[in-house]
Amino acid sequence: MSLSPADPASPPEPPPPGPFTILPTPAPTSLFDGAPDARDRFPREVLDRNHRNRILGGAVAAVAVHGYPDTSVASILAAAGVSRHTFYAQFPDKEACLLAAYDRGLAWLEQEVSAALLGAGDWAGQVRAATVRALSLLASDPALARLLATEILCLGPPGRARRRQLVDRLGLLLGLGRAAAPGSHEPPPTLERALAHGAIAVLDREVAAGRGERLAQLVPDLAEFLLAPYLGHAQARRVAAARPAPRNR
Amino acid sequence: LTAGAENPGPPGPRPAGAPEPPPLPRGRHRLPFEFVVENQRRRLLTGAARALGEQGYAALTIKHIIATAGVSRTTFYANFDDKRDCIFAAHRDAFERLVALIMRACATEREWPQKVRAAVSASLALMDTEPGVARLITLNALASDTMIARGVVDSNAHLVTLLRDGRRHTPFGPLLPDLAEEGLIGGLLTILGARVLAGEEGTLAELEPEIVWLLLTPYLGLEEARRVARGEDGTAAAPAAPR
Repeated sequence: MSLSPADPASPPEPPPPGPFTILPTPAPTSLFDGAPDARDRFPREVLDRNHRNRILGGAVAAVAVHGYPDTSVASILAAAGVSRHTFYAQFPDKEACLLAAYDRGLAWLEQEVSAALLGAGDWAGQVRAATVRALSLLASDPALARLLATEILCLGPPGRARRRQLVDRLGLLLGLGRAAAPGSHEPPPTLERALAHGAIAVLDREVAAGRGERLAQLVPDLAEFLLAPYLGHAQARRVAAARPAPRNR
Repeated sequence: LTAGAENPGPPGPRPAGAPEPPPLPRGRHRLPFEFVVENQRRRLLTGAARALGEQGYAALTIKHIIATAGVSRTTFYANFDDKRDCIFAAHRDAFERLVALIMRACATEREWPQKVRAAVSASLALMDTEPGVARLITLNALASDTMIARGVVDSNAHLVTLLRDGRRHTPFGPLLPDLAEEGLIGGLLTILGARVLAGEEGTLAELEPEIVWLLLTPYLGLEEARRVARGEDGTAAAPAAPR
């Protein structure tokens, strides 16, 4: 545990709860005080939500191991530690389960990234802050990163629709850079989509190569890649490396 | 356009140089064994590409592939283990053709930015005339298979290496972050894939100026990249200017 307050590499706040948090339920007081009674003593919603989260977390883990096409409901059950009955009480099939996991995982990521944008300063600072936050969260959960970056495309049309939505939203943030760009050089109209898709392609490669835990190391390069078309190389590199701008004389 | 792209029936006469060989004659023939084997394999690869475009990966069956290719199931299994194996091979084949084409196109120009423009132009022309190849090259958007997606990443690495050469020839090239080419190629192929998926293959050539512009911007800067993309660099003119 790193407790030294002076260490800049370890942020003081604890990591946010993941997207599939299991709410604590009191431990059984005796060997026989197990699951059957839990139904009487805890609100139905809490148990349902815990089941659901356990299944979603299991599904993400199973897909990270097997890949979506070779993931069976049985492997999700094994990873989640729930019964088949519980699974089908929550989801009609594997596809619905993975779509729900994707939606929850992305909503969590977006919420965390949005929070990081507050106080990040101008547009370029926000792009950098978003890159830092997103990559560090994904690095803490490479299985989720794999679902978001790669496996979602294996889910056919609904998966592709989700990818489009994500690229559109990333594109909105990036597109604000057009106003920040110095000079009158208008970038190509598809620039934002190309950058968003490109960033996802890079994540995909890293996760596929088993370097998911090290995604945070990509921050300076990826931020520079995203900023350079708008700001030029020198300025983009400065922002990406979080260096202060040179003082004007 | 490739004749019979929508029609998996008996292929008519094909344009010269097209990769799909004609079917073998019915009944007895004196064709050499190697010729027959190669002919069948090529028909399977191109048939798989067409069937993939019609069905999408998930719904694609070996029945579709052999019907489109006009070969027997036995022939299929003599060549490939399963659907994944076959699409994997077809993808590799399409990519090899693309890279060979790019190399030839680059050889026609002397300066690196113009080489990129020639390569983009030739690639889009290939994808427009052979929708099956377009689908395979942009397979990422179509695939429903993790292993295939991995193969796509590996093939893309080839294009990444080709583009990376520009670092030695351009003002901003040496400054680029390490992952720039990966992002550029990945982004562009996905955009092309979306067009292909929307059934807009055949119209990819009109994207040429914009794609060249996007690809060259990191190396040359926005303005110079746009000049090359629009053919305002004093060399061969690009077909159409963006906006």
